[in-house]
Amino acid sequence: MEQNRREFLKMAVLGAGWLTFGGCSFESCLQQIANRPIRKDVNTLAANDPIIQAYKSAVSQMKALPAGDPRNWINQANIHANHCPHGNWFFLPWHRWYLTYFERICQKLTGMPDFALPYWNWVKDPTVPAVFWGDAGNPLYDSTRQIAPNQAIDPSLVGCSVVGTIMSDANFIDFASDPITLAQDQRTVAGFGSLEGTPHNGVHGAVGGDMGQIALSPRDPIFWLHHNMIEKCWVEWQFVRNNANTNDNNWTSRHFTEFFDPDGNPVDVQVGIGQLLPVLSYQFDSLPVVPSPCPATGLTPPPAGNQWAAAWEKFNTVKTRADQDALKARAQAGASVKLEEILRFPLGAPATIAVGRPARLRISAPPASLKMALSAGERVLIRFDGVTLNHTTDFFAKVFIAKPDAAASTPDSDPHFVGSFAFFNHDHGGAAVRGNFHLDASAAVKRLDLAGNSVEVNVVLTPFPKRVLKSNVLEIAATEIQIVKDVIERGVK
Amino acid sequence: MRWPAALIAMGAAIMAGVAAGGALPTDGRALIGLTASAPDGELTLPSATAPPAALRLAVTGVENPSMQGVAIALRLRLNTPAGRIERALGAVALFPSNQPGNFTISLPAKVANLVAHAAGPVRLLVHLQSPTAGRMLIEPLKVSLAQPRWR
Repeated sequence: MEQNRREFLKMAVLGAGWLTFGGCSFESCLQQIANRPIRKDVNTLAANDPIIQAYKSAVSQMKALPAGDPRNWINQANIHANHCPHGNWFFLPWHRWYLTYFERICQKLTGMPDFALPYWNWVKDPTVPAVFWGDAGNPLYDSTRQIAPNQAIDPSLVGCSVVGTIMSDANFIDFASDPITLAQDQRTVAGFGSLEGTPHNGVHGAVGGDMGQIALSPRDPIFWLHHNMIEKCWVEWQFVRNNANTNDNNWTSRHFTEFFDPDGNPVDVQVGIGQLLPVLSYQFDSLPVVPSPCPATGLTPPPAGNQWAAAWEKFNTVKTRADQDALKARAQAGASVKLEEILRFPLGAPATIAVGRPARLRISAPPASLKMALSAGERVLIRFDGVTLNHTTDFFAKVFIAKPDAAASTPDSDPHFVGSFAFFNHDHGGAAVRGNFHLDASAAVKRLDLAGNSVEVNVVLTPFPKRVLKSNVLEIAATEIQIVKDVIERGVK
Repeated sequence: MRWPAALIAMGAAIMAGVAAGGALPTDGRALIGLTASAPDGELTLPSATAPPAALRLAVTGVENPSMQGVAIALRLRLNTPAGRIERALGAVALFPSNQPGNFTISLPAKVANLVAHAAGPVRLLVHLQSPTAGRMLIEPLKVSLAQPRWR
């Protein structure tokens, strides 16, 4: 129990540290968490509401900050211009951290510690809120907008039925955009999930002007309320509707280092810790993102009814330590996507690969069978089990298929390229490190014209630039090609 | 098996565990091109033996020099024992508005069941439109789409 208490406090420090420390007792921390600022629907606030006035003041102050101050309005927008991920699964957590620090800066500049960024529920109100119009005298007005005050976002993008369907999709990847790895640039466009590709992109495009461009969109003050609605959707999807984020290390372990705290100091944050922010640092009002019942639109109505309003109420009335622990556990649970093995084609022998001496591993796996599996919606993996490295990580492995002349210089754009794997750059004092890797070869198998009864797997060790190699050999105990099907399991690592 | 904490895969090593259905190749051949003056198109979907979770649509190319907002509204047309029906799926939008990419469209459970039990091919009707209700698109504008798939 004491361990749980310490762990909880540690999470509270990590999740809400900028609010509380200074130091607080367990009970006072709980109290502060229970009373964390409430992000409200902007259309439920009067034009003279203190929150609206504070937001106007914060925007004006940020615009007036010196150009060298990272909290300056343009500098905040430039964080988005230079670092924002779109079209991959870091879209949601990156913008969560972005908004969190923006909100903290607003709190600091306005001297209003309970300031909470409002959100724009475009499902309920598909026109840009009235307080964002006017003239240059209104700090919330952006003259570049292409939408007019009375023009609505098309219901095919933000309508009740459309967003209701998106909110009912329990698959994290479908909901939150496609996976990329830790090794890939966070701006890699892999694929747009339904939340990003439909309402998110749609609102950006419909508002237009600054909002229509990645580099400029945060210069329009409506940007922050739009993304806060995306955040509200994610919080409802996970905590209120009880869906699970992925627990893949490629997602949870990602760090972002481009944000600044309210004093203008750079911070280093992590996706996994960011999952606790809605529990520890801020909350939303209890209004569901999709009003129910949906007004008649001719589109299929969402399956959910008023249950989400009640579920929001329940989520927001968490006061006890037990409730907090349950929420924390849910935030950390995630889901594991497992692979059901349909067919396995093992290589009968271990392999040793050296820098400058690529391996050619011929595996008896009929390409016709692999292509048939792909057409049935299954996937083709290459597994490397018992991969042993005897020293440190001065190289990584590039994997190709049917590429006997593959070399370290063969580019990733080669159609035979499957993927890469590496050991994280830690020296274990000479001790061997060992692990298993698998690469998705589906795309390569699909695009290549393979024939015969076997597939050659080519593994090339590629030195990292400017490293002195301490070891140049990699051993692989077992290699096999597999046909697999995906199975999602919740709360399992 | 307990893995050393320092082991982190690069490339698709770990990603393979979550890339259910796989990303569509971004170099997929365009099947149709939509323009402001010819905004409608029709694509045939592969048959689905089980209710699909979602639809994947690949936008392979965009020519939009004015950077006007662009959305693609989607409808399914399929034959059921009760006759031919159409179901709206909503839309996807480009951001920025000249950015191609792969899009996932969530399917209502009822529609997914209809797809699994459809008689004959399922058609995807696509319509190029502004994300702003009632606004017209202007030329020049061209959006290319590749073969859509079930996920």
